[in-house]
Amino acid sequence: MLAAAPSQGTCLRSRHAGCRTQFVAAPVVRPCLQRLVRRQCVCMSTAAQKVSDLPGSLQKIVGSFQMVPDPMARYKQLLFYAAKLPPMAVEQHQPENKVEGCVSQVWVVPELRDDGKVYWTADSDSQLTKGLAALLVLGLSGCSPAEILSVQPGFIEMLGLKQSLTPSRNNGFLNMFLKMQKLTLGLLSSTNGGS
Amino acid sequence: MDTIRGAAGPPSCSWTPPSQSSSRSWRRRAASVAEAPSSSVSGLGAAIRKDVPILEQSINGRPLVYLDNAATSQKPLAVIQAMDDYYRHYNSNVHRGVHTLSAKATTAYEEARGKVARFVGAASDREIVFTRNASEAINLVAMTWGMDNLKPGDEIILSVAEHHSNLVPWQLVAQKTGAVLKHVRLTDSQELDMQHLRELVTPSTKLISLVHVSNMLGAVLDVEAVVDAARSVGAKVLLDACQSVPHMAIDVRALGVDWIVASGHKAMAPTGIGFLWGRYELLETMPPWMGGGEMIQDVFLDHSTYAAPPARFEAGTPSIAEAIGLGAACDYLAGIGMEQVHAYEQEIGCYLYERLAALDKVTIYGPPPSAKRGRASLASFNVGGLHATDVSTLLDTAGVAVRSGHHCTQPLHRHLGIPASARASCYIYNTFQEVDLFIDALKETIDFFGEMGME
Repeated sequence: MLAAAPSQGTCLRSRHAGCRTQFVAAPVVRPCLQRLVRRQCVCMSTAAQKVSDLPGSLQKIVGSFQMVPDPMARYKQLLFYAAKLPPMAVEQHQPENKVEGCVSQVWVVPELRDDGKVYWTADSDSQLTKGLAALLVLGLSGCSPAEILSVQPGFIEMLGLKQSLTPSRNNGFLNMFLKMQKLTLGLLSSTNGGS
Repeated sequence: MDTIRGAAGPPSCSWTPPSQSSSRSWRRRAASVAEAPSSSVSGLGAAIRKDVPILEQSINGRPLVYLDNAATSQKPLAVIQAMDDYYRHYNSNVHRGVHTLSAKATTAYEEARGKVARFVGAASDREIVFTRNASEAINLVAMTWGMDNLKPGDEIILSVAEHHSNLVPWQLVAQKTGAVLKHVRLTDSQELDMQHLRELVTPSTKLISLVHVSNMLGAVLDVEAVVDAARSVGAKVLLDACQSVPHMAIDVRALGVDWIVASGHKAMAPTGIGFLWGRYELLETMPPWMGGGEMIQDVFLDHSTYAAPPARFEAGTPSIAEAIGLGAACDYLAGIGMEQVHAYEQEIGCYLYERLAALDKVTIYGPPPSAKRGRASLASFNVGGLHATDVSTLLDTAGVAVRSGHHCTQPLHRHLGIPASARASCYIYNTFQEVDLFIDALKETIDFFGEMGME
């Protein structure tokens, strides 16, 4: 009996309860070989991480967005965050700080302070994008590098912004987040190299 | 650098505004966007709308106001049905078959070529080469005529306002041949500067390739001046007619240029089909580009002989359904009459410009409608203090579709000193009411950001 093409089902890995998985079941020629079919779980990390796994600062942000009911209110919320963002000096609008793949111009700059935590500044020429950057700045500032690196991009889904933002903006948001992780990694390796 | 506004003075439109609706909030809007058709040109939009099924839909609970026609146009039922008909009744590969279906398909495909030829006033249908789009057509000329004829020091004249598709292929050719690129600047009214063009032309100029109607500025090229300048040194002229072919009557023989390119999808035809028109004697001198089936005469293991144009440039199985769709679009537009189309677009374009210009803090790019050759029925603009993408995102919540970004004209935006712009572009199925709805939504958007403290 031939097994079905990829289908949804419960992940067999116990730690990933509730995650959406894709099964790739090998076609079976004879029933007796069924037990030998290995199920390959390709876990989509979208819901693999629970809100409670996120750094506290980011949890707060996610929480505030999950409560907002409609697109216009979410935009207002984004603009509110944009207004809260500490300003960035124009001199920091440098290519190495720029996030690629954004519809507008976005810059992010990390600072590793003596308390071992990373503090962020960001800027953008688009208010909505600045709001998105502000989410990340506020959510990831005061976190240790390890905490930042442990966050999976899936939290973006938790914000419930997907309906409000076009795919290109969502990608930009993802790119911002990945850039911040990359910069964090860079901070780690320069401190490790120095010690 | 301050953005330059178009030349001052009220645009002298011959159009009289229909009774302006009071500024209703788009949140309370109830009336449909269509009005009863009238026999005057002003009623054209409403009459055409009925033929275009995609327009009757809601976006975010509001009627769709589609103002992104410079990016791509919507299709009339006649075009959709022509393609459906092809696949339902006579789909077959063209040119080689002897059986009935193949003969029908070939006839329809070649008839489409003839329709395009007549649509642009070509001397013969042998002068129309079907391509995937205008970008491919420009690359075709660049990689055949360009690679064959250009030598180190030869000059290609482009402009700062060109679409990337009329810049990048020439950059690639210049890198390979050692040719030199020069760029025409803008006048104060943001049209292409013909005086500057004349200064740039030298005996080494081999090609002038310019945009007929700018997709960002809306400026219309002085083709006569370009052709004069080119002929004075024996240079060739290529016209990027993407924004002109769909919107006005084109007569390639009257224009006097050597090639034009256009994309079907901006002229109510499907994506995946465009064309190059070239003077036949010129096409004959161009060597093949893509090799394969259809473009050959005889094939041996180590060499082949090639077909005459246009087949020489159409390797492999073509986009048959799409070509037939393009033919149907030419029929549809010719049925309205391109003079009518142009007249309507001048009216609605002028209305769009005037209503935008009346808003505080809005800067519109390109010349005013009162410019000598008019302007396209589009308006690229910025709102002071706001990023174009923020504006277009909020407009989308009101069901209004405009484009934001650099519109494939990064050098132009750099030249104007702006990071991006928003663009509303009309076509024959847009109505004056839709322009009103767009302006209402834009006002609400500006107020929204104003409330949030963004000035």
